[in-house]
Amino acid sequence: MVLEGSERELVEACRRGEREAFRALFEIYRDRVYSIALRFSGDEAAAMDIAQDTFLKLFASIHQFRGDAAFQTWIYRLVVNSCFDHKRRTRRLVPLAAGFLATLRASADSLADLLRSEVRTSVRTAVDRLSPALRMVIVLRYTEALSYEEIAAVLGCSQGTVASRLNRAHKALGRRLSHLANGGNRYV
Amino acid sequence: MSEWLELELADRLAPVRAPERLWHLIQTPGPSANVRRRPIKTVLLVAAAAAASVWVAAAWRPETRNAQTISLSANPADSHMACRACHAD
Repeated sequence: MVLEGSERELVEACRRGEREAFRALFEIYRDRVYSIALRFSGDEAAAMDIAQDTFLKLFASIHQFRGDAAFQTWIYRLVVNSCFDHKRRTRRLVPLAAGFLATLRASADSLADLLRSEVRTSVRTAVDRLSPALRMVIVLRYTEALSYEEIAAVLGCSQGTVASRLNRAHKALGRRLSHLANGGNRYV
Repeated sequence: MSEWLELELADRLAPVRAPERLWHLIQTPGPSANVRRRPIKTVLLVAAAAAASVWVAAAWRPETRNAQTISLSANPADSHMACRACHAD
């Protein structure tokens, strides 16, 4: 089984139904799961739904974990699937509209704040406009700092596919954010 | 890819801390307050009711009569003529 010693014991304890083990496993992975959910969905309420769904699936199916992959990879697969499921279930607002609402919510006490907020919103909107497959690769790469190999293991595809998707995503983001690259970043 | 974009993405997509209430949500599973469910049953019910109303309205529409029939049947004395008008025999 590809597990660290303490994690292996935790998984075994979860299989026996020990409540404290579930809590300990949750504490280890909660920030990672929530971060992926939030960066993928761009919405806190949606991220809570996805994280809740992921942990419920994790606890319900932990006895199915065979140990032929790293436990972390298995959890990442669960959260990735929950993200895609959530995306299928709900249709988001037009990203531009969401970006506009985010701008309204952001505090803008000064011109610098306003510009910083605009950059943040522009990046967020550009990421939101990526297709789910490209966005997930970007999130796993930049939020979790996973290697190409790890991303490929999570998504069940080749490293070449990961590289191709990252390349396409970078090009799309570069095009959409080119107006910030010249002058906007000096405010950030 | 530009270094600027690389740094920007790393900054904007940085990990965050999960809210404390996530554990409580997991302990009490059920319909989440955050879930925006579509009222599928209601939509189907309304659509079915609308379709039924249209069908009933079409089925119960009075027969179209020509002006002669209406004028003849309005006079009881000429009612037999109205029948002839309806049943051209």
